[in-house]
Amino acid sequence: MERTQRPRVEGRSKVRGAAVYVDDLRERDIGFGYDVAVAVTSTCAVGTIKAIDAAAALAVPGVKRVMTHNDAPKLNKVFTFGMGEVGELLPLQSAEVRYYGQCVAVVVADRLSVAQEGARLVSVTYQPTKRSVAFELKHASARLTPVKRAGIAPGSLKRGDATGDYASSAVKIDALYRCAPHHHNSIEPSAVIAKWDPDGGITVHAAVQWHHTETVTIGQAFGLRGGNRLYDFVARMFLGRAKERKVRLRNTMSGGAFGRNIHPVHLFLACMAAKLTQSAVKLILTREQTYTLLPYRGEVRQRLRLGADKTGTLRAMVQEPDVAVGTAGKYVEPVGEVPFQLYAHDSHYLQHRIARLDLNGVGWMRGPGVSSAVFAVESAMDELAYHQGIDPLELRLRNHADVNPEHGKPWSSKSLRECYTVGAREIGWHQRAAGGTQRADGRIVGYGMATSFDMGRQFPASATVELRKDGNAVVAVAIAELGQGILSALTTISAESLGLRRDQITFKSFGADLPYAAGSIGSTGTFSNGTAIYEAAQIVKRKLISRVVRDKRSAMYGEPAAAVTIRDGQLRSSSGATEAVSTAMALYPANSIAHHAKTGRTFGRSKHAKASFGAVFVRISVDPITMHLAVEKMVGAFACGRIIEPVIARNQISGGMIWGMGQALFEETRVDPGSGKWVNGNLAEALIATHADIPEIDVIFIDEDDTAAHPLGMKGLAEIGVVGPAPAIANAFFDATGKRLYELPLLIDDRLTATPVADRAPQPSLDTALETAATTAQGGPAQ
Amino acid sequence: MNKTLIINGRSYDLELDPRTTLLDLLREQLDLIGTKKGCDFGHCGACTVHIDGKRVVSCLKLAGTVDGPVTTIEGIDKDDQLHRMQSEFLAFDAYQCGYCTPGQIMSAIACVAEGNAATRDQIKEAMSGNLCRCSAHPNIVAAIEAYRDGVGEQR
Repeated sequence: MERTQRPRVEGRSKVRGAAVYVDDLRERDIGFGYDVAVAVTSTCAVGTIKAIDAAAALAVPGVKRVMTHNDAPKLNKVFTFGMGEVGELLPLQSAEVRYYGQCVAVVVADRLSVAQEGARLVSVTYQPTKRSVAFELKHASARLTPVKRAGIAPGSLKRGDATGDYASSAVKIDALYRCAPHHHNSIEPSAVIAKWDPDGGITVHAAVQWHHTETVTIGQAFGLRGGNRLYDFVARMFLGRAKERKVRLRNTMSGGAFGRNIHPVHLFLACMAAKLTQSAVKLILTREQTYTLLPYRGEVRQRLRLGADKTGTLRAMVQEPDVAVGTAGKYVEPVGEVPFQLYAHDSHYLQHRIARLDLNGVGWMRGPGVSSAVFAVESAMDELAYHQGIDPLELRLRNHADVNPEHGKPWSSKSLRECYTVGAREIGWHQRAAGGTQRADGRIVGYGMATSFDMGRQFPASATVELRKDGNAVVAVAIAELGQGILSALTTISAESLGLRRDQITFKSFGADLPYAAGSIGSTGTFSNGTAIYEAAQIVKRKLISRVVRDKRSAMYGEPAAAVTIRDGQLRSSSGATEAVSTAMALYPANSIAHHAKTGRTFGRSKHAKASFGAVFVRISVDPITMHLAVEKMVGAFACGRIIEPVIARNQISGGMIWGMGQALFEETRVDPGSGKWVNGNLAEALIATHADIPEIDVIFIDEDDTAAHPLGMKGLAEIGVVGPAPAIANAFFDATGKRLYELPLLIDDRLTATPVADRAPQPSLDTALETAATTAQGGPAQ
Repeated sequence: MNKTLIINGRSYDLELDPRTTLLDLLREQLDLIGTKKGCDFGHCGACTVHIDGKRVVSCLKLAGTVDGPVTTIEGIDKDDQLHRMQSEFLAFDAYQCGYCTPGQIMSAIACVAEGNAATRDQIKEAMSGNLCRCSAHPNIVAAIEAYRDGVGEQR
């Protein structure tokens, strides 16, 4: 690993502990002090609050108020573009309790320790419901209902007679897969500061992923705007109309997000507490509260059937996901969004069903839908490969989708074959030991692979680029820096688009009154906002060039405008003349050249299909007695268009692959079937990967030019790393032990039933592994 | 209770609620916000500081029981000159969101000083109390190795 010559824009502040997150904001930063608020959450899943006794809390010196449903401000219904819980259930609006850990009170005090003490002393009594409750899909069969939409994707799809084709296929794979619920577990627990202003507006300091949507929802909830909710949302997005200027949402860096900062419940709680107490309030979540006041990825079970001919060529794909959703919120994990885009096939059928569980609302989480979908598809492809005695990589190549199989559009670019080649070479795929080979250290080796995929999307965005007299530029765009490196990447894009050096770019990204920007969601933030910056920069450059070529004082005078370029802060003519941008700007009559560009209104619609691709290969070893599984090496080869910041991108993708490994080995938030409480809702027991778990990881970017789709040549990058490691590890476990696992995480309970190597005499060769595979496959799913 | 503490070389005469953790003292009373609260339970390591050069999760340490000089992330760089561990974290992009970073850096300095950084596996084991959800682990370990090897330029 080499040192980077280009640390992140905000890197120095981060290594000095000087980067400021919401909970760090002090009066010196924001110009006002505040009271501190702590939430009290329910210890009953479904029922009614009978009484709240706040006397003991209020008796603590320094406690100012205990807000409950009895005195909390009444909120208007909100439209949530992110489909969060708050779209259907706003906090503290009634005595009804719908999940364990729901906010039932907020204690406001003069400081944190007093608020915590007060919160501990609030006594709530409940009347639990008599109706039946369900916290897991296995107890919610009666609640399953088909849906038309899943996230922003279709809930059902149909082409041809997929079930008929499946029935008549020579080879059939039919399995049921389960992915456990898990939480984002960002290390920052999250806080929000709110203060009502003298003009009736509100100032909010928060870390949100999409400044625009949260601004709109706060405005709607508190009646700071009129009119139709959806119309207002769209008007701001497409027309740039911002009517909710009274909502002054100042975004702050986030200590990790991964989807959790979309419509968080406590964003409202802080505003409500500030309104009720008529003072500025900072509401801080405890770690435990992050499990119920922030969203998570809900449980998914899916039946997947693949029908193929004897050569392994896919004919039919039938996918039937059952998706858990919380008690409120429209979000449905879009499990069926990508499977039919992965491989060429004849017919397909998809139908999501949802079951509303008595839990807090689910939400977007890194790799939404695709992470669980690809686990199923890539496990099934592996099963098909072993069933037919075809190398798993060869099977993928045979089914390579030369055009998008869902709608037949050509790909803007697709370098998946190169990903396979490079990844296979790096892991030593073609020279690998036969599955089940026991090493000198006694452990059994297994290899697995999976295809990785993420949709290419673009969201509407706008940005203002202003070139100033001194030759430097200010770029204003309301983005969110969550650790993904968007500040650095957009600085590079701005510099490149304007022809300036990076140190000549200043960002205005965290203010309240910035132009509408696309959110940091779904691997779209850098591309969507970068596009708006690029467009604005083109206009600004054109204005400058067309002026200077007419100005006798300029070195560019008389040059055709088309022959003048700007690079590294210098105008250059075709004849070789140069002039500093600052010199040219000194001649410019106005003080600055500014342009506000709006892009992406068609959501990047084009005649091309756009997606990022990758291939993940892993080597694992398994202890033959304990079935301890160690991931030893992960290789990810990815083709994601042009990579703007390779060091940051590699870090992000490697982090995603570690998430994928965590999904395979550890990640599960478990609900207590009696109470509905997330029993391991803390960072000691909700396991995530830590240093000792990390294998050797190689991230390889395949050079790819996607300028067919856009001049920036970029594709989405953030989430694809998560997609692939989990099935690759499960496939490697099968390779090592002959036991196929259908549930994530791959728990020791399931692994222990695998055949210990001693029972598989003689020393397993590839042939016996194939035999075992065939037997397992014929036996059907593990469920 | 009254207590005198040396924090980052400066002496503080403090009036403490005996229940106050060192973490809350730093953040809420002294506004030293570089030390982060991730869990308040000793699970995540984000609040790691040094007491007498030894790493301690400050959320599990009552301020009144601190018996040595405290160093936080704010106390390791001198006159705007980064500590060499900070430079290596910067150079190896050993962070993403930055929230666990102060704890990682404080833990890393102690990890090397303890002699727990001889091998990569040893570093990984000895740093496992510091969670990083963005999962910048490979870069963090690379930064610590570079620091240990002392090949980094002094910045």
